[in-house]
Amino acid sequence: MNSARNTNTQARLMKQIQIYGFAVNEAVLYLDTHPNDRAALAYYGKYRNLLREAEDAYISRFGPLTIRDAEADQGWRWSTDPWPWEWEAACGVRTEG
Amino acid sequence: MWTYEKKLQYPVRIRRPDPAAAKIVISQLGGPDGELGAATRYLQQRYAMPYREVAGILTDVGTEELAHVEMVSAILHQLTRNMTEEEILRSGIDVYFADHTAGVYPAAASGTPFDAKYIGVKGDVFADLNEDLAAEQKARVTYDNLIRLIDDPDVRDVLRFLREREIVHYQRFGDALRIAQDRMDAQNFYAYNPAFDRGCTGGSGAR
Repeated sequence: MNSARNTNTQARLMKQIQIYGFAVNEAVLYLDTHPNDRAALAYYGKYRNLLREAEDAYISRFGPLTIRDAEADQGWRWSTDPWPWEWEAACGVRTEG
Repeated sequence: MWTYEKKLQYPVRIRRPDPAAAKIVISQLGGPDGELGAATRYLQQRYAMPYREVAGILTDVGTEELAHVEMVSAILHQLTRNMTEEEILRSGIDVYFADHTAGVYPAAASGTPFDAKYIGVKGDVFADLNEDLAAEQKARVTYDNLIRLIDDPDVRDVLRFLREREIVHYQRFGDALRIAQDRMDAQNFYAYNPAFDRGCTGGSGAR
């Protein structure tokens, strides 16, 4: 029961990261050729902040998203937790550390 | 997925352009043992790799190889900047210039364009890891050959850094091969492929 709730939390946070990450990516592509568009800059800033919040929440509970997120006291989860292309990862089978 | 970092892994500052040197350094971009092949080889081998630590070393070495693609390309860009028509003809880079001007196109020193035939993705743990060990040694030899032929200290310094990385990667792939061998069933050594025969002892159960 508890692990099912963790799986849901992890899946929900990952979905947020994917949504905010995609918004940031779209803003970046547009800003590359429109570097002075103030509305686009504000849009980028808003979603960049949301992305960071979601990433911080995810990393603290479910392990690193990049090689700069790994915490020494958690062990090297980077290479022991599932990789994103694995079926187990797609199903959200990952344990809380 | 990946995000780009706006930096080189190691600085590239070539003070003196030298298109003749670019003609041979290009093999480490798009040649048979070049960095583009290395990055593609390791990143594409990950999916059939049943051991997460080994998938990790493939991910992280493959990612570093992408940074080396950029470093070798930076060397090529700086070696071919401000070329005059006379320099293009005299250096022998005219045969490249005809098709690519001063663009950085992945090809071997011979002029052969980059080809995925340079890489192996066999879907077998031991075939793939042994390919990787050999690939690192072959890339090291190519850097040795380039260092023999190039005098410019600015170029040599970067080539020496890249050569050293080949040796470190070789050592890490050696560790990966040992991890994979330790997880084989002694009764079935090399008789099954842990990347495919998941039902066998030591396959997916060995995760």
